Amino acid sequence: MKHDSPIDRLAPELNEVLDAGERSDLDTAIEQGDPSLIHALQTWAAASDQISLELSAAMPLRDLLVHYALADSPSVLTLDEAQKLSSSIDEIEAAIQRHPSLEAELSRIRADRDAFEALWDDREPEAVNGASNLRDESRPARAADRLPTKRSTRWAWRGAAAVAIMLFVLAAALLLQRDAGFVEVRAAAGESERVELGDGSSILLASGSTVRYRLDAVDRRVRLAGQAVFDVRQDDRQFVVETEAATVTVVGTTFGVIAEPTETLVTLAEGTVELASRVDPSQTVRVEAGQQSRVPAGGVPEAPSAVNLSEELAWSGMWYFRAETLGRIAQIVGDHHGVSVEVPEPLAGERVTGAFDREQPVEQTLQTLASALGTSVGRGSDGGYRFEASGE
Amino acid sequence: MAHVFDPEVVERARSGDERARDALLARLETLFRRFFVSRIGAREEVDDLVQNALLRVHSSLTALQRPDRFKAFAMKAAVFELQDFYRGRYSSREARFDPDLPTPGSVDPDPAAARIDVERALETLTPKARQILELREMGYLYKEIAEIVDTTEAAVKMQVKRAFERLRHVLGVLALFASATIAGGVIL
Repeated sequence: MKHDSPIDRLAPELNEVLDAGERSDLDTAIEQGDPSLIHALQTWAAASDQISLELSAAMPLRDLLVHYALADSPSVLTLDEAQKLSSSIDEIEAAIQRHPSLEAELSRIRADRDAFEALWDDREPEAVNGASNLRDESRPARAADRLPTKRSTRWAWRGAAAVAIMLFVLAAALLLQRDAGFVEVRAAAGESERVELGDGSSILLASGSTVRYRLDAVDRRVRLAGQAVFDVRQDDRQFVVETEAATVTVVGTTFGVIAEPTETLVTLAEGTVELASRVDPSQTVRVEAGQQSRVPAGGVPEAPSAVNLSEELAWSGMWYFRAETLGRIAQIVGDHHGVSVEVPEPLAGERVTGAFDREQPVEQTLQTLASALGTSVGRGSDGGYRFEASGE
Repeated sequence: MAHVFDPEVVERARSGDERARDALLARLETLFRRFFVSRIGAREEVDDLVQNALLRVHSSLTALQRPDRFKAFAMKAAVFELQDFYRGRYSSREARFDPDLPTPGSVDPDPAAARIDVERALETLTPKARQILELREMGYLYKEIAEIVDTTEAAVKMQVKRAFERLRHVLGVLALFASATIAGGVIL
């Protein structure tokens, strides 16, 4: 590496984080012989040397550290490797205790391993003539690796005390950095794609969108580029959605995130989420159902405000109603399909919470609503539809 | 027909069957290339990494006792090669020297004082900043460090910048104390 300036020679790791203006200012100060700056740079260099020495002294043989990292997978180490590792376990773990960065390196080594194994398992098999047909070594298929499947049912339920879990996510930001160990699904242009996760959750990806997800024993983590609707099933693990600007963690049962290059917008349909800034995770707000909060890139979350869910999520091609009256829903659905939908009182005042595909046949949507309310719907005299009042 | 990574084919390659060995290495080359590109990008170093990893496999294939564990065998070759790459990324420690840098005349060149300054410098590092600097010492790019510690590259770089600013501040305060002590006066 060519070193062009005193800063680069003495403190290359610092030089890399400076912008051109900062670098120029420091170079000028050095040329002018600023004693405190020069002393600081020299001390920084000496401190970096000290870090290097301490790390070298504390770090066990590199082979052992790699083996230690890989030992969490069965049958990876040979007997000889396992025995050598076993005799140095105490030394390795003591070093990790003293230097948490070693723990971070272990995770990197494991991520490298996972990336290799993902490529291995995705490879196209190639034949070699003259041998019997033996099965390839492969890891067991995880539920999270299943191919996307279609889900055609829509749902509705009665009243505001809904227990179904719906997560609305709209993201227009570029995807975060490459994620080793994550499963990636991409929706082709012009087509949406539904992904069923191993925990019973699902993701509806809009055209041209990509999602990467990883479900493990600790948590369920998703990184998204484009637009998606999430249907999250609650279990013991956190469900976290990450964007360029924000991290959204499910606290209650649902949450929604909209991410753009300059901001992340969180819209919540049901339950509660905690919204944190990526730059300063200590800055958080709690967003309740029917509310929305915004996080500017590099900023902190704004105070939540109430919103119209269907309007905010119209892009998804779905309706989202939260404790909306049947009369209002019937009007919206009817207007969209160009048909009349009559709802007698007091049925019209019944409140419904649910999500519906706008392009689903109108009969299907109305039947779902009717079923949720314990009634039925039929054709009206004007060619439209009519809900039967309860007891009719 | 068997797949090229079948234990039987691996066994034949291990036993000296050149055709099986060539098929194995050819297929591995593609896999290794995809792997290294996925981890460090399409850089010119990828060719060297691929060749070195293939050499590891080739030179130790006869020692492979379990042909059915060839995946782990190949994976370790790739991961070790990547570790060598990370460690060799940055310049050697001897480069941290600038003979042209003006000697700061107002700072006492006393080695003991310099040692104290280094100790204080290390104390100013937050655990996060220390972790980032150690990971950089291990050879990772800031972009990779951000992935490892699960944050953004901008946040990682800000940590380093702030660490230096804190160091400058602390050293400035130390110098003030030192000069006040030498002068025998009261620090204002």
